[in-house]
Amino acid sequence: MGEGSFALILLLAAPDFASLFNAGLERYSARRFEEAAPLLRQAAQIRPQDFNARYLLGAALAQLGRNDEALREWRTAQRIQPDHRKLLQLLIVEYSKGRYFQESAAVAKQALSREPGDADLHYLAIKALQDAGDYDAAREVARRAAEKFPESARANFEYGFHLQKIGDVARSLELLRKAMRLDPSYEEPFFFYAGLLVKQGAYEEALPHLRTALRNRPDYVPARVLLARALMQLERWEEAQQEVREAIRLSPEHPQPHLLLSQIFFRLGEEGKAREEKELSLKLRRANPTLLEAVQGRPLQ
Amino acid sequence: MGSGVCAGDYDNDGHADLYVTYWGPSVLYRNLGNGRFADATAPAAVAGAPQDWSTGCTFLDYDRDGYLDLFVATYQDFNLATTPLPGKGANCEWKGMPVFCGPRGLPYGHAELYHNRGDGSFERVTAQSRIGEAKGFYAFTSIAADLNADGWTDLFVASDSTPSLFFRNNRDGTFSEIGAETGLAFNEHGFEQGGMGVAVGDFDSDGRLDLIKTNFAGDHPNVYRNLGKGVFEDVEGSGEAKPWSR
Repeated sequence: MGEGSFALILLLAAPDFASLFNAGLERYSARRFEEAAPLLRQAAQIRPQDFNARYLLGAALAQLGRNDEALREWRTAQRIQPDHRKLLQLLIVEYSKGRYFQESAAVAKQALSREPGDADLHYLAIKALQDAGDYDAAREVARRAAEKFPESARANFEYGFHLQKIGDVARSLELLRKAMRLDPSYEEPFFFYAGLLVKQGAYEEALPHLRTALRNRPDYVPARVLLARALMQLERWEEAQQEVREAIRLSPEHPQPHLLLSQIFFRLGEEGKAREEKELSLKLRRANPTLLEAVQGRPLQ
Repeated sequence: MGSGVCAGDYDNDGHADLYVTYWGPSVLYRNLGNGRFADATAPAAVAGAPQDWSTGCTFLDYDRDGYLDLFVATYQDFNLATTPLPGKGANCEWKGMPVFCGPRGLPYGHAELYHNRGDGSFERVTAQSRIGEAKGFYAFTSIAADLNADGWTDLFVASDSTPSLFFRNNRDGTFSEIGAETGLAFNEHGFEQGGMGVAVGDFDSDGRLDLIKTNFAGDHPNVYRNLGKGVFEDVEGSGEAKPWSR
């Protein structure tokens, strides 16, 4: 058999695009991402301009935590289909995860201009703009969301949250109240509403809102810590300690409850215990820095 | 590169002297009383170490012996040779722009306390005063005030991207760092902030000294209301602190 015939056999035996893609899709669906990625990469090499191959390869890589490679594939996919809604959403999130905040915000703006009626895109854009430090733009998107989706608890909450940040407390409280009314199972408006009450010294009034937030989400550490803080201000030390200890039980790696426990002990004159809890809090803080990341005081959970 | 300055009459001659902090040795300028100053750093022994990037400083009489002592905080132990160039490493970009790297990822700063012997010289008492026990911070401005109203001067240091520090004067020549325990190390949500400047005053006229700390761009200042006994609450954003809200 001549060399040419051998090459022909090899060519015939080589898997084609469809079989590679389908095999990759099958493994991806079965969450076997390690196996899916090379199959999809081969498929993309055969047809570099195939959107689905790039898109799915990016998704498999993202699942494997290979953020930069995923972004590369998705950027290629975006050049093939610039208006693909789901892809734009994924790019916003993945850029943000990789701490490419400016890129995330740029894609978010682009996506919003193409899909101005999409509520989810508004929320993604708000976060992306916050992460990028463009608080004015984030507030403007939140304002538009509240205008376009007046019956959405999320939209009202987002705008209320941003108004609070520029000191417009009265309008913020109004929007947060509306958000609580629209969706009593949504914990964030209850937490931030209570936060404003605590700042104004209305500790007793804040308690039921924090308890509602915690009924909706018992492991919401910032709410439990704020509840403990309000109880501290009311000098209800035992209840404050109970809440902090519950937060520690639910989220033992979180530094914040230990910090508050340190403050409780200090206020009670137990400086040794206060120091121990402080040291533990600082140690956990160094071990889990992302647990305490925030966007203008909005804890990321 | 000058980073900070503080004024105080360390030699009790009735003229305010100056201490200027630098990356590298800092300088004590003795006021001669005729509009001129003399470099008194060497006899005073307060230059600091060559790699110190000293920032906040403050004169205080921590032991109430009638002579002003000197507290100096440093931002980093800074080495140009090992610090990445702007845009060339982690923490070297801000909002997509290449900037001076850090502070995260660079060696922490430290704090120093110098006791005034009363003869124009100072003794470094960082270890025995327990000021040196505080670790893990990038210090900016420092301020001296009796924050717990016990008649002895305490210290507060605004730190960048790390917990701010409250050194309580223990009235025996030592200090305890109790920023986290007293609510002064972090913001109301427990987050480290980019602390920059600090001022002290009784903003609510309750007879207790409160603190305001400014932070890096995009963050709100903290308004720490003194609740008594040196315990504080950040009330920025509340009705009380409205004048400072943006």
